Amino acid sequence: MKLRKFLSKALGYDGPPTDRKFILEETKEEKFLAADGDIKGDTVNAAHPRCPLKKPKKPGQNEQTANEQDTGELRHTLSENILYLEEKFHLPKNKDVVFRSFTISTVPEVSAVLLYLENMVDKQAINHSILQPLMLLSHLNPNQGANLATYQRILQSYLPSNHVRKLTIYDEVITEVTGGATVILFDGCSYGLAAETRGFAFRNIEAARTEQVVQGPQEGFNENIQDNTSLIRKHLRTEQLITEYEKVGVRNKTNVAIMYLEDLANTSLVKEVKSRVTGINADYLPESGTLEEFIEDHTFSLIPQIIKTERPDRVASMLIEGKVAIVVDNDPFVMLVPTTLWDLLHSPEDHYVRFPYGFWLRFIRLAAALLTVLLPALYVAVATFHQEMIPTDLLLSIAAAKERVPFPTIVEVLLMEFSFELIREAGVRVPGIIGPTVGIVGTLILGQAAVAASLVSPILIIVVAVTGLSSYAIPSYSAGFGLRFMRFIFIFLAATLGFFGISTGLFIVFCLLLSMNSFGVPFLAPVAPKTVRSADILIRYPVWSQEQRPDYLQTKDRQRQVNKSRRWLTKSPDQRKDGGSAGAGKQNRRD
Amino acid sequence: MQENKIGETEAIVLLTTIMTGKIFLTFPNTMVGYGGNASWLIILFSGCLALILFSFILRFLNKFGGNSFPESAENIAGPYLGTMIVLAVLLPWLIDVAMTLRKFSEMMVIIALPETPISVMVITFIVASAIVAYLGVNTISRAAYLSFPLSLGAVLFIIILTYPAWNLDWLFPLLGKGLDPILRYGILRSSDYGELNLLYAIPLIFYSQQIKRIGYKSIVLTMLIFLVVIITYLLTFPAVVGEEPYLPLYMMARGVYLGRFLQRIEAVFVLFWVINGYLWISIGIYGFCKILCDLLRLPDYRPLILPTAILILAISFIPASLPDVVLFSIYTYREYSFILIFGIPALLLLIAHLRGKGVPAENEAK
Amino acid sequence: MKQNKRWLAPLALFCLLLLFSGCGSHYEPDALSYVLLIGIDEGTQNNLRISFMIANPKELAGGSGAQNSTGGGDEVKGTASPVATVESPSLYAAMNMVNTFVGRKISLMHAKGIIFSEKMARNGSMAIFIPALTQYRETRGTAFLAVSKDKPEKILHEMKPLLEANPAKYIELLAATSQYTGFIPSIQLQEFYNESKVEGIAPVSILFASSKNKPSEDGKGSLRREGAYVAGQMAKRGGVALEAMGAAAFRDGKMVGELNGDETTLQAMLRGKFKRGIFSMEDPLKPKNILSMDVVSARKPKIKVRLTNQGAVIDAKISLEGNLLGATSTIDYALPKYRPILEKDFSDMIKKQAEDLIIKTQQEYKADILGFGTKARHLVLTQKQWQELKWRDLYEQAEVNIEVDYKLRRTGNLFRIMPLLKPEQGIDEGDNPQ
Repeated sequence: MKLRKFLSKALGYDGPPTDRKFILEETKEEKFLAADGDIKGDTVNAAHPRCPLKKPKKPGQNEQTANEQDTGELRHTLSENILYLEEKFHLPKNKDVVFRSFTISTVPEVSAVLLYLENMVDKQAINHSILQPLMLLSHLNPNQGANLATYQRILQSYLPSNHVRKLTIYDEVITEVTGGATVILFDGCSYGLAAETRGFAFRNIEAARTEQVVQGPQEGFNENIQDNTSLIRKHLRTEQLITEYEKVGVRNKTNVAIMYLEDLANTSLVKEVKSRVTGINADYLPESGTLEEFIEDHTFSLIPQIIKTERPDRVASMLIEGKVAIVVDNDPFVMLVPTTLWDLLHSPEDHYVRFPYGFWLRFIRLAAALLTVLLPALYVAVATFHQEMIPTDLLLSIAAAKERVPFPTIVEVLLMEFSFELIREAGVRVPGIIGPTVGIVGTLILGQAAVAASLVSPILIIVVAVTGLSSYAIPSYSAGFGLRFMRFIFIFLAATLGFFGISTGLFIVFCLLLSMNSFGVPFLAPVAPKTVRSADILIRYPVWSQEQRPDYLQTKDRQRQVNKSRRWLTKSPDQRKDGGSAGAGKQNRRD
Repeated sequence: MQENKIGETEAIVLLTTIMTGKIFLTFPNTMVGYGGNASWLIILFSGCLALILFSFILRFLNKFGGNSFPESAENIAGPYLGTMIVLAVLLPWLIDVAMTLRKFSEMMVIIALPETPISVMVITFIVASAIVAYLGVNTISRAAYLSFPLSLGAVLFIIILTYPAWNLDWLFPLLGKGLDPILRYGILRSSDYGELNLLYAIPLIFYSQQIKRIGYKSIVLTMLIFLVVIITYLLTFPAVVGEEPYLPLYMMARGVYLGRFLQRIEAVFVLFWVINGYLWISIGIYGFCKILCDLLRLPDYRPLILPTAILILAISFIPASLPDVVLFSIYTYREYSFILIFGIPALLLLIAHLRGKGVPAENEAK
Repeated sequence: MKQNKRWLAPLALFCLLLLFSGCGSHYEPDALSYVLLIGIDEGTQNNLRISFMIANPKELAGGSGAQNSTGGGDEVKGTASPVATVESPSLYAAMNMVNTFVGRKISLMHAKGIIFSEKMARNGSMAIFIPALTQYRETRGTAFLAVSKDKPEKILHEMKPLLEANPAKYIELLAATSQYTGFIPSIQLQEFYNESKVEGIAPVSILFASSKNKPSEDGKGSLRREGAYVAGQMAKRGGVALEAMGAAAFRDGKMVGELNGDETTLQAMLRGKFKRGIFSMEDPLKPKNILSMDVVSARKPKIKVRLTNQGAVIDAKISLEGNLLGATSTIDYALPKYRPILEKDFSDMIKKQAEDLIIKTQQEYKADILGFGTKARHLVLTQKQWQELKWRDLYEQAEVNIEVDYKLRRTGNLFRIMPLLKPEQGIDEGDNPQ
C-alpha cells in the first residue's frame, strides 16, 4: 500500500504547482520598448535615460519592524523590574548575569541597577563610562529627584558611551543584555538605558583563508557583524549604502544585516530578500550556511544559488553591481544574491591582474570546471566504449597497464576517486600539524602503492590527480563540492552508456540549471536567456569596456561608467574645457 | 501566459536547431539520392519555396495570433471541423516525434553502442526528453540557445577536418540527375522546414514583426546550414557513394585523419549530436502536450507528459527495423507533410475569409 | 515538497538504467585483442585465408618488445605482434574463428591496413570484398590498402619493424612515406571504395612484396633510376624483409598491372596528390654525372578536357619546383646560363615519363588511373549525359598533351661550386672552367 501511495504521489498529479514564483521583472521602459516592436533582437538597448532617483529612505524608518507583539513593558518600580528580570534570567542558577545595584548621587538618592552578562562586557567601559559618571561625577540638580527629565539628562549628558538606547520593554532589555550591552534601570522610571559595552572576544581581521589572491586586497571578514559591515563600508564610502538589521530566529535572535546600495539595487529584489530573511520561523541560525539553506530557491540542486565570500572587496564589487549582501552575525562569510552560474566561476583576482591575464585565468577556470565534472567520466567512456578513438599506442599502453589489474575500469575509477575524496576530507578534519602529512601520504604513497599492488593502472592516477587539481581551481567552495559530487553521477552514466550517457547527463544538468532561478534571476543569465551582452561573463573584457551593470539585475542605474570612460582618449584637454562635465553626462544618454 | 515568452534570438535558434537536426540523420544521403550531384540545388529551391510558403503562417498569425491554435481553429472553422484540423496537426506530429526518437536511438546504436539493445536507447532518450519537456519551453529554448553554437561548431569542425578528402570534381556533373527531380523534390522537400508549425501551434508570444524576422531568419539560417553540409558531403563522397550510408555525417567524421593521434573521432561528436536529438524530442513532446492541453482546455500541460511519452515510446517501436523507419519517415512523411504544415494555416485563412471572420477586435488593439 | 516527489519517478527509472551497466557495447580495453593488420588471401580448404596481426599490449607497451621478438616465424606466443591465420568463409567469421584460440575478442578498430593477395586482386574478388569492409562499423575508412605479390600471411610474418616497438606505428609511418617519396600511392580504404564506384577514375593500391633480391658481391652496376623498381626487386639487405614500392592498377575491380615507383609518382602528380620526392637524373651537361633534386609540387596540376570531333583532348600542365641536393659535376646550376638547361631537361624527362605512363594506361591497362575522367565530368550537365558520354572509350582514344613546368628554386647550400684540385689536368685552385 505504501508503494501505491508512493507511486500515486510520484506519478500522479495534484493540480498546477502552487508555489509562489518571484521573477525579477523588466523595467517598464523595457516592456514599453518591447511592446513598441522597435527593438533589436530581443535585447533592449541600454540607451534609455537614467531612472529618476528615488529619495533614500530616512534611516529611522526601518527601525520599527521587529518588536510588535510584545506587551511586557518595563514597570515603574525598580524592584519589580529586578524581580521580573531575575526570573527571566534564571538568576540563582545563572551565574553569568550580574545585577549591580548602586545609587546615583542625586538628592534624594536614586537607586539604580546595572544589568550585564559577566563575560560579554568590557569592564573598563562599565567602570569608566557608566559607573564613574553616574556615581561620582554627576552634578545633578539635587532637588530634582527621580523624574523623567532627570533620565533624559542622564541620557543626554552623563553617559560618555557611544551608543545609548532607551528601552521600554523587557524583551528589548533581554536582547540588549544578551548582545553584550549594559542596561541601567532606575527606580521610579518605566524605561531603561542600554549602553554599548560589548567586550567579548573575537578574531582579529586576518587575510581571507578560503579565497586567496596573489595581487589585491588580502583582508577577510571575521566573526563579528560590526566589523564585517564596517569592512564593507570601508570599501564603499557612500551614503547610499544601506545596512538594515534584522533579528532572525525564534529562540535565539541572530543578527542579520542586509546591505545594498539604495540608488542601485532593485527595490523589489531588496523587498524579496527581506521578506525571505524575516520570514524564517526557525529556532536558531548559527551561521550563513543555515540561512542560505532557508532562503535559497532550489535546495536539491547540486550547484549553489547564493554566493558566499569572505572578502570585503568582492562584496563591495558585487554591491556596486546592484546585488544585495546578507551578513550574518558570528560568521565570516557574507552571502550575495542574486547569483548566476558565472559568478561561481569568477575570482576577484580576474580583475586585479591585467586584462590578458584575467582573460586567461577565466579560461583556465572554465576548463577546470569541465575537467572536474567530465574527465573521469570521459576516461571511463573512452576506455570501455570508444576504444577506436584512442591513439593505438596509448590504447595499447592502457591495455598493458590493466594487464594485471583485476578490476574493471569503473571499479578502478570509483576506488581512486573515493580515496581522493577521503584524502580531501581527512585533510580538512585532521589537526593542523598533521594536515600536510595526510596530503603527502595520500597523494604519493597511496597512488604509488596502488599502482605497485596492481590495484589501479597508472594512467588512472593521472586522471584522478588532474581531476582533483581542477576541482580546487574552482573559486567557489560549494560549487566545487557540487561539481565533485556531479562527477560521480557522470562516471556512472559513462560506465552505463559511454558518451551517450555523458551527453544525456550534460543535457539534463544543463536544462535543470537553465530552469533554475536565484532570487528571481535566471541562473544562467545573461547567456540564456539572452539579455544585453555583458562584458564580464566568461570573457572578462578590459575594465574600461565594462560600461554597464548586468542587465538581469534590473538595477536602477544601468550605466556603470560612460561609454568613453577614458576621457583623455576622446578630447584634447583644451576641448574638454568647453565640453565640460555636463557634456559627459549628455554623452551618456546618447550612446 | 508569461511562461511562453521566449526571446527572439532564442526562438530563431530553437527553430534552426530542430530544423537542422536532420543533418545528423539521413537527410544528406536522402537529398543526394534525389538529386545526385545537384542535391544542393534542391535545398536552395526548397528553401526559397519555404520562404514563400511561410507567408501563409505569417498571415495566419497576424490575423489570429492572439489565441492558442486550437482556439482560433475552432473559432474559425467551428468546433467539429476545427477539432479535426487540430488533430490533423497533432497526429502527424506524434508520429514524427516517435519516428525521430527511433532514428536518433538507432543512430546511437550505429555510432557508439553497437551491442546495446535499442530499447535501452529509446527509453533513455524519452525519459531525459520528458524531464526536459516538463521544465517547459523556456528551458528548452534556452538550452537550444546554449547548445547551438556548440553543435554548429562540432559540425563545422567535422566538415573542416574532412578537407583533405575534398575533391571539387565530385560536384560535377552540375545538374546531377537532371532538372526534373530538382524541381519535383524541391517542392516536396519544403517539408524539411515543417518544424515551422511550432510557431503557430504552440502559443508563443511574439509581436508580428518578430514573427516575420524569426521565420525568415530561421529558414535562411537552416538553408545555409543544409547547403554547407550537403556541399561538403558531396565534396567528400561522390554522389553514387553518398547515397549509401544511413548517417552521412558520421561517415564524414569517420574519414577524419589528422595524423596518427587523431582519427576515428566520431564518438566525440556524439556529445553534440545527442543534445540536438534531445532538444528535438523534448520540444516535440512539449508541443504535443501543449496543443492537446489547449484543445482540451486544460489548465496545465504537464500531466499529459507521462502518457504522451509512453505513447511515443510505443509508436516508436512499431517499425520492425531501421530501414523501415527510414523508408517511412523519409520517403513518406517528409515528402508530403509540407501540405499539412503550410496548408493548414492557408486553409484556416481561406475558411475565415469565406465565413467573413476578420480580425478579432481585441487582437487588433494589441 | 510535493512537487519534488514527482522527480522520483524519472530518477528511479534512471537508477534502473544504471543497472543496465554492462548490457552490451561495453568492453574493457584489456578484454579485446586489437588487430593491427589484416591479410586476406584465397583459402585452400575454405573460401578465404585470413591473417590477423594482433597487438600484444604487454610486449608493446613494456618497451622490451623489440628484444623479445627475436623468435621465429610461426611462433605465436610471446612476440610483440603475433599473427594468427585461419581459413574461413568470410572475414567476420574469421574473427570468431580466431577467438577459438585467442582469448580476447578480436576487434578490427585499430586495423591500420588491409593486404590482399595479388591473386585475389587479379581475379576481381578483392573488389567484391571492399564494400563489405566499409559496411562494418569497426574497420577504419582510413586504413591503407595494399596488394601483396607474396602471400599476405608471409608479409604479416615478415613485418618485424626495425625501429618501432609497435607495428601499428610502423604501418602508419610506412603508408605516410608517400608524402615524401612518392613511391607508393596514398590510398585509403574509403578512397579506393569511392573510386571503384565512380566512372572517370580507376583506383590503385599500394604494392607490397617481401624482399628477394640481395645485393650481389660481384658484377658491375649500371644506372637505374630509383623509381624504376617494383616491390620485391630492390637489392637490399638488413632492416625489414619487406618492400612497399609501386602501385597496382585496377580496372573494373580487377588488377590489370603494376606501376613502378616512378610511374606511381607520375600518377600522383597527375592526380594532384604529389607532395615531394627525390629525383636522380644524369647531368645534362656532363653525362655520367648524377644530379639529385628534391622536387616539390608547386601547385595542383591544371588539367583540361575538351571534346573535339576526333574525340577527347586532354591538356595537362604539371608545375614543379625543386632544390638541387647534390651534383657530382661541378657545374654552377645557380647561374642563369645553366639553370634553364637543367630545368628543361628535367621537365622533358618528366614529360616523357608521363606520356609513357599515359600510353600504358590507355593501351595496356585501359583504365583511367590518372583520373582525367573526373575533369571530364565538368563537360556534361547531368548524370545521364555522363553515362552516355562513355568516358572509358573516349579515354582510350584520347589525345593527351602534357606540359611540365619546372623551376629550380634553390641549389642547396652552395651558390657556386669550385672544382676539385687536379693540377695535372690543369685545374688549379679557383679555376672554374665555366
